[in-house]
Amino acid sequence: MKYGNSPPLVPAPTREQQAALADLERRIGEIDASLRGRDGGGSRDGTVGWTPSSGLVAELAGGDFDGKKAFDAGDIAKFDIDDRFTLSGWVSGEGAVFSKMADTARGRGYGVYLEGGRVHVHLTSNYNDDAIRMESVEALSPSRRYHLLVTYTGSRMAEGVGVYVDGKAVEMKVLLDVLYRPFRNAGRVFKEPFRVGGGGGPERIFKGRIEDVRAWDRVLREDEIAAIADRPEAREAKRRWLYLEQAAPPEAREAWKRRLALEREREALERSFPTVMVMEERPARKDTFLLLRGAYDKPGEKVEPGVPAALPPLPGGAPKDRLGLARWLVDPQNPLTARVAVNRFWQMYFGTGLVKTVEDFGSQGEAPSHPELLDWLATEFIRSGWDVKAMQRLIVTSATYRQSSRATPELLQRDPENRLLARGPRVRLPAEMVRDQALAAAGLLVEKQGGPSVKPYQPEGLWKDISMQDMDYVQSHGPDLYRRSMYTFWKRTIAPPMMMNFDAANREACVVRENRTNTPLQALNLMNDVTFLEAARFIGQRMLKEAGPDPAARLRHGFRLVLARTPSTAEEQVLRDNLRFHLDYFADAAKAKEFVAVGESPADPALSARELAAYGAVASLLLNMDEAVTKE
Amino acid sequence: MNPIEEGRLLITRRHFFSRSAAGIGVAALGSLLSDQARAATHFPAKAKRVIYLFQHGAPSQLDLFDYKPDLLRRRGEDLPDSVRGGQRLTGMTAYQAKFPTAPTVFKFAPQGKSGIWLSELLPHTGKVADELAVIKTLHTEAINHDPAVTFLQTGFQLAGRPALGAWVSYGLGSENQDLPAFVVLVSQGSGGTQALADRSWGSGFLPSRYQGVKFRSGADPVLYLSNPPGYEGTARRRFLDDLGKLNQGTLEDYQDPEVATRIAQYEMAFRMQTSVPELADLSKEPESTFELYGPDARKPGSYAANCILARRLAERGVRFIQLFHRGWDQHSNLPKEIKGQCVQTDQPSAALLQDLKQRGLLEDTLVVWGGEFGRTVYSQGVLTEDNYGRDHHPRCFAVWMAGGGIQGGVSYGETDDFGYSVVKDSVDVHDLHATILHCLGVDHTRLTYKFQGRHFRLTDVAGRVVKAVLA
Repeated sequence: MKYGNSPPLVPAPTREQQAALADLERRIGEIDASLRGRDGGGSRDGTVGWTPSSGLVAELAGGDFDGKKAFDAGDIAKFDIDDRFTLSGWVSGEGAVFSKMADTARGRGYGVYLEGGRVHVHLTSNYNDDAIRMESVEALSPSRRYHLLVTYTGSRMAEGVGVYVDGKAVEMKVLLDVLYRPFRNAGRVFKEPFRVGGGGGPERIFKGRIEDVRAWDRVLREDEIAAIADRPEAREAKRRWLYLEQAAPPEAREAWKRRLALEREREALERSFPTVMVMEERPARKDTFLLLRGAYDKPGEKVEPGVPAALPPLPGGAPKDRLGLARWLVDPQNPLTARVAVNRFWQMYFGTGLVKTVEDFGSQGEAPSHPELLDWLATEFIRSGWDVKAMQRLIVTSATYRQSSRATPELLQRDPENRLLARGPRVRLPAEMVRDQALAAAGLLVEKQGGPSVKPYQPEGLWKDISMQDMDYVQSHGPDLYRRSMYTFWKRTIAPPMMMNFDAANREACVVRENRTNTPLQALNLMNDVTFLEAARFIGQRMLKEAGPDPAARLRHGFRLVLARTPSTAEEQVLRDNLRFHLDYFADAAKAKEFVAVGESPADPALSARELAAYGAVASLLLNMDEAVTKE
Repeated sequence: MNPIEEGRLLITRRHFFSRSAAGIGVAALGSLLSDQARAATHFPAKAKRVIYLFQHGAPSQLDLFDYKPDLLRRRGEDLPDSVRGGQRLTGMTAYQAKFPTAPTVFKFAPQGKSGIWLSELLPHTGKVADELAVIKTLHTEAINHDPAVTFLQTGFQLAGRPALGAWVSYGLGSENQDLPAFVVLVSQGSGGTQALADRSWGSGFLPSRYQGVKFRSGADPVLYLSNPPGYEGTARRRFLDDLGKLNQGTLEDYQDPEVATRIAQYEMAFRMQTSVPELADLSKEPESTFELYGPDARKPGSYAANCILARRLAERGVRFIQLFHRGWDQHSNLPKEIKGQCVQTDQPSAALLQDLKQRGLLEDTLVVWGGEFGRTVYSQGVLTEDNYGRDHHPRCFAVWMAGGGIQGGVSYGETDDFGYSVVKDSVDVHDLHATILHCLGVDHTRLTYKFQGRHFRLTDVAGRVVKAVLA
């Protein structure tokens, strides 16, 4: 099982997290200011016995190793591939230095070795194809004692591994760099002990001496690393840290301690940030060839990046990479981007783009129905500085958009698809809006922006039915049930069923023109899904609480909440009859009680269950109306 | 019917055709709201519907269909390099030091009048051997489950294309007003299980009404089918009557045929609330049915129960019925695990053919049985006297077809002495798809849908009907 995003990644903190980070930075800055210049004064010669205590999780004295027996330090330094850590020790000799790894040649786990004078680092989930393996470029001379230190950022990439000899980073050669699965993969416990002088098979047991073995659950800074390795240039800093830790006046010692704690807090916060997968240019571009008849083993002419000849060229000086492409896309000389963008806005409002084939402006696409309008909108968009909101306003306040959606048979005959825009649009809402609108009308919608995805209601067992390892959907509770649908967690192989019923793109392939179908499954969904039943109950509740005692006024209020207009006389008659029917039906207290219990937000106990159920059922009727799911 | 109503219906139908025909390139084959199937096929159809018994995880062709008696002599020998020819292997065995040839431990015997060789693991299938066309030379491009299943289901390894059943329901529409045209049933096997994905029955770029509807065992065979607690059918009827009145008003106001469609779809939803539970309820099946389909047949959600459901769906005119039975991924302990899988599937699969036949349905129902790729002749892991595993093998595997349009008692294609590569009559996945469509009266080169600037086909730019298996 693969966990989380694949690197390269960039952090994407939520607003709350950004605020928390800024606050931590501020507090750390304040302490730094208060401690400036406090170093105990004077200068002393010689080494100072200090190592960072912040994050220290293991400390072992070490000793001599004879190549036959390693030291088993038990279940400590329990780091997995997504953890940050640092390992350090003084070594002379050859073999496994420290590890937490199955004791076989290609075992699972992490390990650091000295072999042929080279430092080897392994993080192995599966030796052949799921591991990081690297070795130092330079060999160390075997006759000396070295300080060896390895850091790992939890990035699951070789780039996240740092190797330091005597406090200096050494150049590493990456042998394998594809690490995905944790050591504790698929819920298995990773039981190997932390070994000094061993791990990775009996033939690797250390011969020589290993001392002062330490492990931290964080990545040490370079100045700290230099200090541990006792580099002369780090002595000043080292003395200051020792002073602040042990010899300074109590309030300074306290402040220093707080600062270390805040740093840890900042690190934990940063680790909790959601990440976004990004792409990265290779240092050197690979040669690319036209593949003859598409066969991967039949390269033809060598090709270079560029833009289609029919379109404007790359702007002068733009690099031939993604940055250059980005500049080209928004170059005012390039009309295509703005046309494509405004055409999609148009589609969103009118159901059909001015160019119907919104995904295809090429020779296979359709010509625009109103080319001048498209062009004008595009230039307006560029002129406004690509102001998306302004474009929405421009479109929705236009006379065209504000026309009535009513059609006459004659008009329908002449222009069934309304391409000539002689009437207003009439299109079914997209899946997300069908749900969001119901929640909004109910007063349940939580308008919070950003943050991790949420898991609203979904029929039980859907994931479990077809996934591996019995992975199941763990539904959210409370406000997370009512976030906008764009925050709904999306498992691509088993997409949220309501979204799929209402034609949302399944996110497995790029779709810019969703279909709008009209199916019995949609009807069942709107009638029986707890999402819509609960929303209906809350609309019913609003009818009872917000519109006074008169049933007619209550019905009008509910109608308005869902359809944003008042009902006609005929409609009011239907609703009154329907309410009467439901009041009779829910005179059966058991039924009413069951019906109002649908959904996790409890019914207002002050209301009669019978009334609430009846008004809720009428609200459900409203949510199921064609007009409720249609924009006109 | 009064003239106004009739006119409205006409608008609706024309509207539907205009919607579904938009950009197809060829005429849409079927009507969607038709009372009966009126599919105008490209040529006379032998089969009206398909039941695809998909064996998910890849059953071993070497232990079931592709008999290689000479391999016994080579037991344990390293697979010669000349056979493999340096082709890629999966990461699971690519680093194996040895590739010991593992002949099957199961006995084979010729079956029926046609004498098709089948393994002793398939005694019931053996009894219907004369109905089968066994293709032993199917091969695929993919070597891992997900892309291979996606390829087999949609004709392409990457996600985003419509599933075979979606193409069929798009092309031929539905024969039944009360049920979806494309129904999917999933059952769990006893062996190594791989994940399934909705895309295996998804509609891809086709409108979502063509997607497969997964029927589940339990109270709600179709999602959201049941009315909420405290709300009974009588109330739902009244609800729909009033909803119909309100929507009728909207229709009169706006003249939008979509409203008429919505009114019809709510009625169909109501009918489904009755028809689906009735369909899923096996309690009225006679004792003989359960005897025929075997001991699992009374277990809801089992492969056997799903086979009975498949027959009931076929009886009701559902166009494409696809079963997914999981658990065929035998990387290790194959002899024991495949036995379990066969106990679950052999009898029900054979029973389904017999049952369809006795009801006169087999002649116009195409039944297909098979997985997403085959398994290696060499053992994954250690080969012992009675145990071995087999890795993924895309270069050849076996499927069988039976029923409408298919000639029974045919064994098609030959593989080499090791059952490693095809030596005669190779069939690729597009060929299989072309053949299935052919049985339905559809020319696979003419069933197209325009999306993102080009006309797509289930068979891409390939596909050749395997004439030798046709009746």
